[in-house]
Amino acid sequence: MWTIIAEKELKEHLQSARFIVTAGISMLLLIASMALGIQHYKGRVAQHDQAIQMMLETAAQQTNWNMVPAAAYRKPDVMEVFVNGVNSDIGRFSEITLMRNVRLVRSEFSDDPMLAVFQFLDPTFVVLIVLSLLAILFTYNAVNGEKESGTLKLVFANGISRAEFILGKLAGGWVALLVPVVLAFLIGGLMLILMGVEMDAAQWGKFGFFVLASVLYFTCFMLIGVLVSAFTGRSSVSFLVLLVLWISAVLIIPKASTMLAGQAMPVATTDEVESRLASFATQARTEFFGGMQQRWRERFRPTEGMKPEEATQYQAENRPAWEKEDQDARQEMEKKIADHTARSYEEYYNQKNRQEQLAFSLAKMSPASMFQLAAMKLAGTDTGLKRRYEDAMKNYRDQYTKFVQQKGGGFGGMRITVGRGSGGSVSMGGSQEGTKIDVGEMPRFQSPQYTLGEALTASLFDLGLLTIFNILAFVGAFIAFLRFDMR
Amino acid sequence: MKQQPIIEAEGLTKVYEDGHCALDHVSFGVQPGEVFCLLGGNGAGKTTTINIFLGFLPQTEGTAKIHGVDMHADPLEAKKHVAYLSDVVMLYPNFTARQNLDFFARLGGKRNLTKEQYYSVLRQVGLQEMAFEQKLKGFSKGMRQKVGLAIAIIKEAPAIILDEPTSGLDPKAANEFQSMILHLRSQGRAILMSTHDIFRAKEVADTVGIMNDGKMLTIKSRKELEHEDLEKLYLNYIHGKVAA
Amino acid sequence: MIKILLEKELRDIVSSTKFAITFGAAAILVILSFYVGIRNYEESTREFEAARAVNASNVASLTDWRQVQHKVFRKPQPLQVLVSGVTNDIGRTTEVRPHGELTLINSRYNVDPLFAVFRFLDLNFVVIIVFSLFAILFGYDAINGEKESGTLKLILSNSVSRADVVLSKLLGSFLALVVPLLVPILIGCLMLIGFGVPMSGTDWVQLALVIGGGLLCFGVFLMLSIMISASVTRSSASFLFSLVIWIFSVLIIPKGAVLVAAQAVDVPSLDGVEAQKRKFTLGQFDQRFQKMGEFLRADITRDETWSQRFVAFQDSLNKAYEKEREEYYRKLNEDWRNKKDHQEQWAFALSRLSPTAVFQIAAMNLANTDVSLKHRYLEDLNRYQDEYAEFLRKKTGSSGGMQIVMRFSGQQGAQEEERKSLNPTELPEFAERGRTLGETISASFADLGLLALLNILFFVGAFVRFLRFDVR
Repeated sequence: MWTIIAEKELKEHLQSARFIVTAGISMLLLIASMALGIQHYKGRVAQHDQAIQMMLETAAQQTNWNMVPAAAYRKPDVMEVFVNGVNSDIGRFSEITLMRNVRLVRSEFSDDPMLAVFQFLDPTFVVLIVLSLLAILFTYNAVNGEKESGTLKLVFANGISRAEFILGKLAGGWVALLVPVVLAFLIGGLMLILMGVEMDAAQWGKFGFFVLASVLYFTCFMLIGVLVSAFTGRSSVSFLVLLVLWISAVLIIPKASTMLAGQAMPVATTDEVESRLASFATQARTEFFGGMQQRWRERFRPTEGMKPEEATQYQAENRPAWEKEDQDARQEMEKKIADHTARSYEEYYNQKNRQEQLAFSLAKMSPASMFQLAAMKLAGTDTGLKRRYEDAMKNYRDQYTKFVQQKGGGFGGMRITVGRGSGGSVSMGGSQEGTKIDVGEMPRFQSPQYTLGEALTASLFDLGLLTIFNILAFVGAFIAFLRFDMR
Repeated sequence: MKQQPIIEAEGLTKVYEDGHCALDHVSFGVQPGEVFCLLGGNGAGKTTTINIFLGFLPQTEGTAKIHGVDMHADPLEAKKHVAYLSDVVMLYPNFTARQNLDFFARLGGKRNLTKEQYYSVLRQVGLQEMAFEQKLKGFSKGMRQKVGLAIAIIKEAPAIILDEPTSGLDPKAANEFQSMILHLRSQGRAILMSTHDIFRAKEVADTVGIMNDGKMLTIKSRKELEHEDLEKLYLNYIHGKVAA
Repeated sequence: MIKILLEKELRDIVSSTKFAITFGAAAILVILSFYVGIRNYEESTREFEAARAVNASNVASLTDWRQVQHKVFRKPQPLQVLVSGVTNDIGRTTEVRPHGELTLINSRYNVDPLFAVFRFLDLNFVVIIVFSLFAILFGYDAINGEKESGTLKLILSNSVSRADVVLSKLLGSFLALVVPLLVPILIGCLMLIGFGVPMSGTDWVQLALVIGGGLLCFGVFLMLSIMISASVTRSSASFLFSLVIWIFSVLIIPKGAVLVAAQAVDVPSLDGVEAQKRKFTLGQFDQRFQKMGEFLRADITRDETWSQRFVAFQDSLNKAYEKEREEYYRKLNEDWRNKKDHQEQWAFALSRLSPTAVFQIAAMNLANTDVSLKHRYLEDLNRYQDEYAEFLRKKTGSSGGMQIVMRFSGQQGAQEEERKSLNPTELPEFAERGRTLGETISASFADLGLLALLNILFFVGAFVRFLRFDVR
């Protein structure tokens, strides 16, 4: 019996101008957003490759590893086509130097504020805003509209149970919306292949789950629509109620919750953290230099009474030990700074995590945030992206500095020798006059892996919430309809 | 001695751009104290006639005069003399019965009426006292029709045009409505109403004009009707068995 | 006649449930956006002051101006929290060196991606999304809704001209919706005063213009949807039509326009420009090295004044290279900037197909958070850099830049005198010059004018459509 209802529902939708216009528009938007996204992604890849290429070219001109403008670049990921997330907000690369901590700078939006003004049109946005609005548009009069047009009574003049009716209605409406959405994503997938974008199995998997999340999300709004429609007598009222719900869920709750959390749990700013770190480092270095000066004075003291030859002899004998002592002191100082830095950042990130957790748990009152967070985590463009890259870049920095030190560079790279009355020279540590360095030896930065498994684990909770939300809304709509006053 | 008709149609013709002829040289007149019923099925031309009389639609040929003023030539002057009750009377759902009445009364030129005067008209059309200051949202069709009639009455225009006023009313409401119309007739108003309800037409009309396919087939007075079965007459005309 | 119709229009709108719900939501959001903006401003100001204090204490802990890593911070402006524009996307912190190119780092969103996820709720957002939707909800059935309820025929059966009816409809619904909207806006303005946000006279004028622009934007959607209502017979159809236009103009056109322009107008990547600069600078570095080596080999008398001579030599080197570098960078930057400007012009010209984009561009220009904020700020910074270099030259006797300072352990006295801590208040104060009121207004004038023009256009459109409207 319910299949008759479902069939009627499907036909009714497919034949209505409303459906053709709106489903056509959302399909068009989904496809257009993916096409633009792919183009943009290709641009990003080209930019990334070019940046690395140019870095290597400049490096190849150098005779000294200290002069290499080393940097680690964030590698574009195809998933950005679907979920741009915070990708354009966080820095694209970090300089890798001994003197500075890793810091992602020059985000796409800061380089090109033009893009930031209206932000991106990615499929996530289309699903988030347009599909949810569409879902409401299709369901706001699902029950009370049939009452208003009198068809509800006509239907129930036949031997059909309420449960069958509502099931059929939901199924029919759902399929009607599902078809254009899935079709649009299939076309998107085809475009990816045709436009020669390389995707591995994990990325296809993430894409699949993203489509699943999208379907869960708009189903959610459809169910809410039916629920409200079965709760209110008049369709004009249910539309208004749904519109207010939609505005709050999609536009207000997410924004308001992050801002509330930001105000409830303020976190020290990076400027503060960095300045504190800088002053700690300056102090540690001053201490180190002071200590070194002190030590050298002590070391020369025994030579005061000696003849010049004896003094030279003495110095020559002890120099290796002294240099070793200095080296150890320097290493100790650097370790002290590194430890302190690590601790400060750990603390900073812990604070930030707590703030973020509060913000996101508040935001999850709205299914829109559940979807958005799940999508970002699936694509790896969530707030954790920055942390993942920074960690990977820190490791790379350690690796790279070790490499440079092996090559003879290192702290205070420049060496000036000034002889008394004999002229002098300026040279860089580790440089061999005239020979260019071999960039082939340079360790390369590897982007952090974000596997399908990790993506799934991260987004599982949000996807689960979305599913639960769906079940609740379904049960709600079901019960509301069973109690619906048909008169 | 025949008076000057208040509502007067002369050779009214309406041909649409696509060539469809909705009215074909229709002429009639409604005297003060006369109820003229336009009788016909869907698409006969009743509503087109009324739309022309209210200036909603320009005619192709002929004239439509209200109180001697040509509706087409001077619509604003002509409309001063006509009150109207439309087939759809949803009115303003957020206004109370009195507020609806107040708005349309003032539009009709009755500027300084007191609350009591509004109430008295509402009472006259038989609306329950408790509904006077209630929003129209919860009103039934019959109640809204009563407010609509009150709007038509309060203008105190010599001509009243009613478009399908009794459709969708229950017998009691329709009956009350009918007696209101007769009351208005007794005040000397000229009333033009369209209907497809033969029995209602027979009961209230002084004159019945039977229309079909844009043509006025015949105009019969009440006296003439008494001898004939209107239903038979109507069906005969429509099927073209009796030549006009 | 018009008075009666106007009065009815006002009453009809204000007494509806639709108005109660939507106006309530809009009012809450307006007030919320002001509140959030104010709190945000307070928070950013706190951060700004804290960062400055840390900078000052860092300076104070040093003894030599040459060691100073001086940082300046972008000062939060009250209007920037109401119309955020690109303010959270571009960096806030700059390390000022006496020479070399300055960069902006630590943008709000880069530092706090948390806020980038859902972005901020500002007044601009409320106007664009909520006001426009609000307008459509009341405009879509203004004409055909009255037809459906039979009242249009009733009205026109009286001695009322169509012009009067449509005029009162347009003016009435505008007044009935705009006047109530002014209430939460005024409350928001009072909150600005109450919370003690330091708004200058210029700020108030600019805020007033932003609000005016917002109301014009609202008007555009109202007039447009009334026009649609007078062009389409059924209100359900006109609603769908208006909603589609809303989705396109609010959500699709602006984003699409920028992305299309970004692809159609080619601008070389900034990374490429940076790489060219780096290459050039490294080349200079090499040359400088050789010159220094030559100096060391040539000037071999190590007398008292040797180290001063060495510093002076480095200074002259710096000056020469700095000039060359500046020239080269300037050319590169200008080149890139021209291409970028061209692209931006295209993007914004395309996006102006949407009235909300027109408003947003006008509002950002008024709040000085438009795309050229970064460019303007960097220019201010460059001026400050000169000032700072001059200051350092006075303090240290050299104009800074790459410096090698030689100290011979024998020369005791010099060391002792340098032990004195630095006084951070001596640093020249950085003030963002920004734009004058005149410049701000002239930057937004065209867009505000366009909004007004669109209002008139749709007003006339609705008027003409209604005169031809089939009331049957």
